[in-house]
Amino acid sequence: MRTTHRIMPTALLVCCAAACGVYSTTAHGAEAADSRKALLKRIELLEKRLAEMQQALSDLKGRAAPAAPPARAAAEPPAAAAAAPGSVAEKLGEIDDRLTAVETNSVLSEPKTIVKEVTVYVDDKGNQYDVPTPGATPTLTYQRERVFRRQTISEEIEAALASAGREGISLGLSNVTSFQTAHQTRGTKTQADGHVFGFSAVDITLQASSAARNTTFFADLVGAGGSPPDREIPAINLLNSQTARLSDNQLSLREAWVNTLFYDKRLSLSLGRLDLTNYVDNNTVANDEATQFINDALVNNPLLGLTSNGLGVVGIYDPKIGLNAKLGVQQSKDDATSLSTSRYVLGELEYLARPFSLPEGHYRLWGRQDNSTGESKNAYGLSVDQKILPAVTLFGRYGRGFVGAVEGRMRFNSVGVGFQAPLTFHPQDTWGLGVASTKIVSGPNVDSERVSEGFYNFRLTRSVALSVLLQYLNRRASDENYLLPGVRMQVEF
Amino acid sequence: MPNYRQPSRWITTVLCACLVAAAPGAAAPQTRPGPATPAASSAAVKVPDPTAVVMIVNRDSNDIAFMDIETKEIVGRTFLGNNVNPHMVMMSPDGRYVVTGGTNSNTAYIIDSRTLQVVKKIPVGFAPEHLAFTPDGRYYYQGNPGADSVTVIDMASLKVIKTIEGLVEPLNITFTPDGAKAYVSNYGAHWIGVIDVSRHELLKKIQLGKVPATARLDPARSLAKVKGGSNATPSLDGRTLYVADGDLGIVSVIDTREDKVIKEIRVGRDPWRVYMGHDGKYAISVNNGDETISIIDTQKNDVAATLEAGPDLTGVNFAAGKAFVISQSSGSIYVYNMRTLRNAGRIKIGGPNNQIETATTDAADRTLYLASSTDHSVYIIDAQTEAVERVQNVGLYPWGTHVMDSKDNYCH
Repeated sequence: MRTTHRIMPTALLVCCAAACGVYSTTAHGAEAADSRKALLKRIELLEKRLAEMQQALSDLKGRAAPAAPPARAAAEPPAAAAAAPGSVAEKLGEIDDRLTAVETNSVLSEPKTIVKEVTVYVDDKGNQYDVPTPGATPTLTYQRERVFRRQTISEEIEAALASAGREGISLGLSNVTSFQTAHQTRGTKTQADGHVFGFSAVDITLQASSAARNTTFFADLVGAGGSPPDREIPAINLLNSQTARLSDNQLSLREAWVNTLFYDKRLSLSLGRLDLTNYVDNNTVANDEATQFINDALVNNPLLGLTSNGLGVVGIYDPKIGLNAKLGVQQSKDDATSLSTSRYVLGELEYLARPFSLPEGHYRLWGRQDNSTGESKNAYGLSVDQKILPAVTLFGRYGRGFVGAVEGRMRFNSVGVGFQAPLTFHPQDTWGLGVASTKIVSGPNVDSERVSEGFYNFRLTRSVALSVLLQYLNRRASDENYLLPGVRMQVEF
Repeated sequence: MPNYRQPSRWITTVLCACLVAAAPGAAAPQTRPGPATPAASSAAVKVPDPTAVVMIVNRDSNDIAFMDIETKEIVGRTFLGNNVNPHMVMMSPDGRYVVTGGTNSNTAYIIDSRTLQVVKKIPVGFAPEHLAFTPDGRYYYQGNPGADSVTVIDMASLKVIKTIEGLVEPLNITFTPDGAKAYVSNYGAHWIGVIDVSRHELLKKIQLGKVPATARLDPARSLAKVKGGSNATPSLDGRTLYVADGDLGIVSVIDTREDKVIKEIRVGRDPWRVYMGHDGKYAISVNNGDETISIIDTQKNDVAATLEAGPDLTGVNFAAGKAFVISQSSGSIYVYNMRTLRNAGRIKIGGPNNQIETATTDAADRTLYLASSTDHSVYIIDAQTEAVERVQNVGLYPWGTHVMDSKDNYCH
């Protein structure tokens, strides 16, 4: 740039002097001639560079060079072209124009074309207006729009990949494998004492989102196998919740539904094979058997009482004000002869609150009705998780009602606490402690049990987590106690 | 000094200079790099009051549009050149100039804020994006994330006086209220650069947080891309800075007197940056990893609430006791009550698949001006009633807006 600044004032003088016809007659004519030569040499170099750029561009695009540079520029020597008064300025202007043309055309991608939904106004004669016009009715249509933007190849590739990702089917894969041992600490020795148990489940999820506007399709295939401790310890709640509603050594279609959104995405509807318990009782620290507690009593409320997934529909209304409502109905028995004889209805109200200036807490009230036992049976429950500190969350559940699987009325409650960083070894780790009490108070299977559990989940990488688990089971009816330590590995892609 | 021993040469020089200045098209050289020249005095004044307009950066039409706040009409437009792709616009503190960096032209543009003429084009580093003025308006710092540098421009001479090297994808620059220091956030690293403004030199690097040892177990991710600090957000008194680090999932609190981290606040996953509330009580971190916001109590320097938001959060504006959080790809603004710290609804902007960018709030904290890129519009939002009004055809792909003296002037 310094060179340019030294030359330019002199160049302007040359230009003016040429126009005035005075400078050439001074004693400094030789100096001016040298400066002009330097200037013309520089123009020549610039033209050469410009021509090279244009050639490179035309090679890149695989077509003839742009017509912008006039033939005169190439044919005529710069010195001769600049001989006439004022031609230096013209030459500079011409180079400027050519440079602009190169800048404009050096688009590594073609100008982008996007199609947009627009509302136009059409009158009785078929005339279309862009703005509301008397006698014209608003009509929805689509039109193309061109956007000019120079994009780099990497931007183009990124955009193409993102578009392909949005329009294609995304595949998810995860595996959870757990090992548990049972140590009987009280009661008559049973077969389970000292035994090692293991269970592994693979989830394959498919998601596609281009079926229609705001519509997604989701499917979850599960293959599971192994011997969970529930095979030898007849607890009320599953000691390994991975096995809930799954058939052993079979590939099962756990869920397959289509979801669509209405009313500016405030209302969500899902239709297909569902697990309604996925939509309610979504406790933030005790709702995932793969990374949190493994005992089913600390994953879901057993009063929900759903024994199998099935065809159903669920709607969620969420106006994003901290209050939402959910209502769903589904088939609850695989062997039901009709939907009428296995109708499972579940609804929930969820409220986000900050009592006593504490951090956020979620308060849920749910109720369900199930006629799979031949008559309509009800249950209801509460689910709360409340942060008391940014890293500490208390939770609790309560429920009572009739549960078809145990053919009797049941009462349930659980409490616990979840921890996160900075009260962990590593930032993404979590751990928790919880206790749950379950009582079957009527029917042929009167029983009760208390479960205590602690876990620590090491988040080793974004895809791999390792948990250590410890359960203590107190079976009241048989007066048996068990200690069940375990480990669990989760890998997801 | 003129050479009096050669009067004929001196007279010829002056005469020719006058002729050049008077010649048609003489304004063209003013746009080239060189000494500062006053804006063409003959140019009509299009913006008499710089506080009365909203500036709109139109990325794809390569211009800055000026919208009158009262009439909501575009009163002027400064075309910068083909394929310039301006990124962020800002008014100088004295209201004299409007500046922007052209990401594709590697150039800073100085615009006369009254006539809207480009008075100077200044070559800067590769891919300039975000910028800031010193509080006294003397220096304009232009961040060049593609060149890992910050270009310092003297607003008196309109010349580059220094290029600060040694940064890593510098994304934003924050000055202390006294203008003595600047903090440069490096998105490509986990540290903040402290700049001595008197010498325009990198003084110190402040580590934002330690990368967990488990990062080594996942080299594919750890070595793929760094999402470090994008912005140092000051408290109202300027004594504290809040810097979100995307990879670490934390907001580091920095004491500006000692230039050290005094606390790490764990927030949601992949936080983008922190936005300070106008009363200074709360700041908000937007967390794109889990689509939440973390509301930070600035007295306790702790998270007061973590609330659900949407995808691709690009900005937060504060007005009428609410926070308006922009979700780019969903075309929605999530609203939060800043007294109760609870969700307060959602405003859908534009038609289906509309993409929105960032907004500025007027100086009175009543109205938001939201850039909506894919429908080439600016949406005016009444913060109290949440009524939305659309101003169409402001330019192609509006990327951001700016109002002089606004507390919410930011970019993404």
